[in-house]
Amino acid sequence: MDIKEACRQYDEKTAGMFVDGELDQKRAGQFREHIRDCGCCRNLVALYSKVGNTFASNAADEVSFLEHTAFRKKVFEAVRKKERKRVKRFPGTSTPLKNVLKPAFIAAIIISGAFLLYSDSMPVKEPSAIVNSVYTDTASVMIMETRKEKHTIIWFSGS
Amino acid sequence: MEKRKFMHLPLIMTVSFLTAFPVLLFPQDCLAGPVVLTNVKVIHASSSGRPHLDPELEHLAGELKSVFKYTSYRLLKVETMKLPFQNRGKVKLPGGGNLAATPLSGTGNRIRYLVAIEESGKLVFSTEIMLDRNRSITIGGPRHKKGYLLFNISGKVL
Repeated sequence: MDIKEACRQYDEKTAGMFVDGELDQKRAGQFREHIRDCGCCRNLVALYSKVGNTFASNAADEVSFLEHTAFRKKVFEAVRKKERKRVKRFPGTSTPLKNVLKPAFIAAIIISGAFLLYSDSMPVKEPSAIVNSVYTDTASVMIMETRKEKHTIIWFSGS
Repeated sequence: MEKRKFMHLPLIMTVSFLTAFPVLLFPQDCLAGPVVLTNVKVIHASSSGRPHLDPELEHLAGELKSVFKYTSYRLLKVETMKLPFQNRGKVKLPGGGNLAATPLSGTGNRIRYLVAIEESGKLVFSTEIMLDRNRSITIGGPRHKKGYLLFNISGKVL
């Protein structure tokens, strides 16, 4: 609905300027007098005022939101900085723990690999052969095992 | 359509032939079960004469010297036999005897062997052992030329 159809004295712009306080005192007084009798302009002023209030209120919220976001960002950055500073360090040193753990992990893998590769040359625990049974018609049989490699030796004395 | 059906026939025949060829050529190797590579070293150990150590026995002699007092270790013979399980392999010994090694079965990391030594056709010694696949056993005793014969036996499943 076009509200200015009913009032030919004042236009929307004047109503808007009145609400915004942009009319000089004289014109503002005249317009104030006018809206007492003109329902159209009164409604328009009411509407503009409402819009203005809503805008002002939202704008305030927006500003507060922006301020809040900026504050939050600042807080997060400060926390992150502190966390960065709080790196776990190797006990008794200033070296970060991960700088020690990484080479240690690699060394462990290399040592395990070397152990598997050269396990043949490692000291053995089991005898090279387990003797289930022996038969001989000679005087005696000895079963021995060397100390170092547990090499099994069977010795039977000749008849 | 018929022509297309038999298009790959020459290729299939060639592949089949190449696959079957080794089986036809070496039926025992291809169709038989696992084979045990059995190695027998015949060593003469003595304390007479100059100290001696054959280079092939260097590693083994280190172990033998920790037990025996012999100063000379000579490698007289090496025999490598491919023996299927339950098949006996014979090694002729200096002095006329025989050593027979029979891989009986394979269990885990060990091979079950039956080792028998005959002298003049008579069994003088036999043993059943569970030999580690990567190691060896030494059996000794028969007298030979101012010393003794030692038999070092190792086995590997192929």
